[in-house]
Amino acid sequence: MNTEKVKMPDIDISNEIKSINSREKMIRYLDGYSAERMEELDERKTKRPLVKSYMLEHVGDNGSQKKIRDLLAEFRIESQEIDENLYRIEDKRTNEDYMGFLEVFSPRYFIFYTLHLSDKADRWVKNLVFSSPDLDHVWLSGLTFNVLWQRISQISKPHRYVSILFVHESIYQIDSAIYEDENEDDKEISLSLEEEDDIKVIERRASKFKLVDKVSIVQEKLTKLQDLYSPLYAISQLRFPSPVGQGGHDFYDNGKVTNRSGNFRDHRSHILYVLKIYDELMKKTEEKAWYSMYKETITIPGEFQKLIGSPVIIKFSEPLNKETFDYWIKSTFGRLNNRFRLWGNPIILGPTKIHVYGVDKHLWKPVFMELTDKHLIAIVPKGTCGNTIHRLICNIQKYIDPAAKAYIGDIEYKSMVEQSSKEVVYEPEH
Amino acid sequence: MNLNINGLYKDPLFQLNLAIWLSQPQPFSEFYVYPLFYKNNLNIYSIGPALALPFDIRLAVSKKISCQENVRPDLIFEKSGKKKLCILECKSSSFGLKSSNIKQAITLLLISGPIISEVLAIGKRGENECMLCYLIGPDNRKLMESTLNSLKQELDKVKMESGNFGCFEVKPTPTAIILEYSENIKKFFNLMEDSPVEIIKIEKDTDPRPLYLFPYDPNIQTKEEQELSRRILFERILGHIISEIGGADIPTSIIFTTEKLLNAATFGLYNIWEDKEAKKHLRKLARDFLNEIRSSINEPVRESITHESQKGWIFNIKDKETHEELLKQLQRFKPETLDLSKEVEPSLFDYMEL
Repeated sequence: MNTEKVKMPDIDISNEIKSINSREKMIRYLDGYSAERMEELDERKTKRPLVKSYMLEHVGDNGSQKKIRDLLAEFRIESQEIDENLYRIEDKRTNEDYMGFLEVFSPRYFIFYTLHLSDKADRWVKNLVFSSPDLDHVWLSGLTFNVLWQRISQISKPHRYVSILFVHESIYQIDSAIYEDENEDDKEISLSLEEEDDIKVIERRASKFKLVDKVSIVQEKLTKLQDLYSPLYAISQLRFPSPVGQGGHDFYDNGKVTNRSGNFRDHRSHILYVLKIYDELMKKTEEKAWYSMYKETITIPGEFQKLIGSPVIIKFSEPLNKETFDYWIKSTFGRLNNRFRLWGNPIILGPTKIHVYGVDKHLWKPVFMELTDKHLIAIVPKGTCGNTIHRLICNIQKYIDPAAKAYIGDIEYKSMVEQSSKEVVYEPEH
Repeated sequence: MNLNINGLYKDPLFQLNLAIWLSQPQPFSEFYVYPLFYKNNLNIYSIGPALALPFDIRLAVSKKISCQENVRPDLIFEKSGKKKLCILECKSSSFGLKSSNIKQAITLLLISGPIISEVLAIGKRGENECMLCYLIGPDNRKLMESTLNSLKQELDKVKMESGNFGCFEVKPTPTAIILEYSENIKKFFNLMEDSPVEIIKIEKDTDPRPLYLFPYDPNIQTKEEQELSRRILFERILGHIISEIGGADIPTSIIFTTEKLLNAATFGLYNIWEDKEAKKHLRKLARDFLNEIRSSINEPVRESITHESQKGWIFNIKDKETHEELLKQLQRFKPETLDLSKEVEPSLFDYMEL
């Protein structure tokens, strides 16, 4: 959701980024810049865009991952090193725009910081991810956000305000107008509260609303409300209140984080915390879910092979109706560009059951699935990035069933996230 | 859809995949295939292992009873740190004492005895206990157990120690696929559930089979099962090709050998199959399939795919346009439109091709 009402020539932002040539300068600049924006936010007069960060995942195999410089160079994007693991990013395709900074958190995770307007920055990151099978967003599902919310409520003062955005749209229900569109990738849910006479009536469930309230109130009510109304499980944005002043850090389901606080260092620190949890979750998911043949004796090739791995099971809270199921299958596997970015030829096994031995087209890796009106089961061969699983869960919650439960083998996904978050704890350096 | 699943329960490929699913971790309350083996700590120890009789056993049985020197059962499960093992062999139905399967059954019975520890090299003879279990189709359990009982008596007569044995029978009821097993299986593996156990719910007009982890077996029984397993094999080969090409850096040249494709499509099981005729048959299937793919690709992109007998299939992708067009056309290719019941004819080059 973009609430920024800012008109400022992009070239100025580009020039300001260009002038920063060290980590210290970047931190000082972004810190001061964030403080200024916070003052403007207080006066409800933002003059310039807020600082935004994008958590990205480098999805190549460990060891064969490309260097970030080489990866971006393929798209004529230049990474100029200004410090160890920190780069200033210049897009040579446009008017030599300086887009922001890229920090390498680990060989697997990057953070892209920018001052450009949301529209421009979102599009730039989305196009980059779309064009590169080596990059993906960090996907935070509603299930993950629910666990992160518990961590927030544990440590935030009860009077602080938290902001939560819920987004769910049953786009596969039969009246869906989106189905008519040829390319779904550029479509985002857009819900207007305005009523117009000439808008065709679309009868399908669509929920998008924002809750802003005190931590103590949300803590008391949210679980009860979720039980009453399932779209409230589909959290797609969550604000971590800042401990150093008003405002906080808005985390979105696609890994975007908007700094609505007056402190950049605190913003970065929150991102590092969430990335650590995500990394733990990713390791756990891949360790458990990856299917492969494991050789016990390496001296005799082919001997004593065993199959290791666990199926990913997403169980719907209630069966989908036949029309919705058909729509979902047709709009996903009936066209090359589809919202789930999957390819496969469905093998029809019943009115509401298909098998697909397909491909995750974002990462170009195999994934085998059973889709029914009651569940989705996925087999993820070794080497297919765990991100495929997280994106799948995110999309199911957003577009099919917000209250769906997910399991990796016999372990509930939610408890895996809880475990991952518990493992990210303070450890003294010495 | 044309639902003809009469042969399903007897199909060894279905049985193999079912047995694997029984051992897959799944939530007990929300199961897809009831994880009977997983719940009772029976884990896959090995898939399709080659097991040989120890030298002294071969000497001891020679001239006394007819058996094989080695055998390759479908699966071995282990329980409690390999203290107990289950050799599982999938068969469409029971067989009598004159069957060609008898030698294999005797060998498996011997291996399931105290020598299992040595055969698997996990301990001294007698340290581990093993049970030979046949997984068979409907209404065959009693007959199969009777055959195994007779074989055990024959082995006893010649003073050869054999292992425990039993049968799992898979069959449908109007509402579910059930698994029946004898009391001795329940006792041996300390199974918590009494036989029979509902393992997959059956829904109206719906084929109950689970996702196939292993897509192909040359011993498939019926035409319907053969067509479906070929379709799955082809989909998996096509998926592998699309994955490799989709994720490639351009320009590039990607080489697919039939062996590489078949291993990718079978989780590496192709490599360990010993049946040379079956492997030849599979290579021919894969080769024909690649030919079909190539002919479906429009010019000029088709020219980027060539075949060299000593190398394999070469996809030369010179630029982004070729890459995009090739991917688009590959994604539009439908294996279901092929003649999936076509006889596979051997060719002169079967041994040369890669």
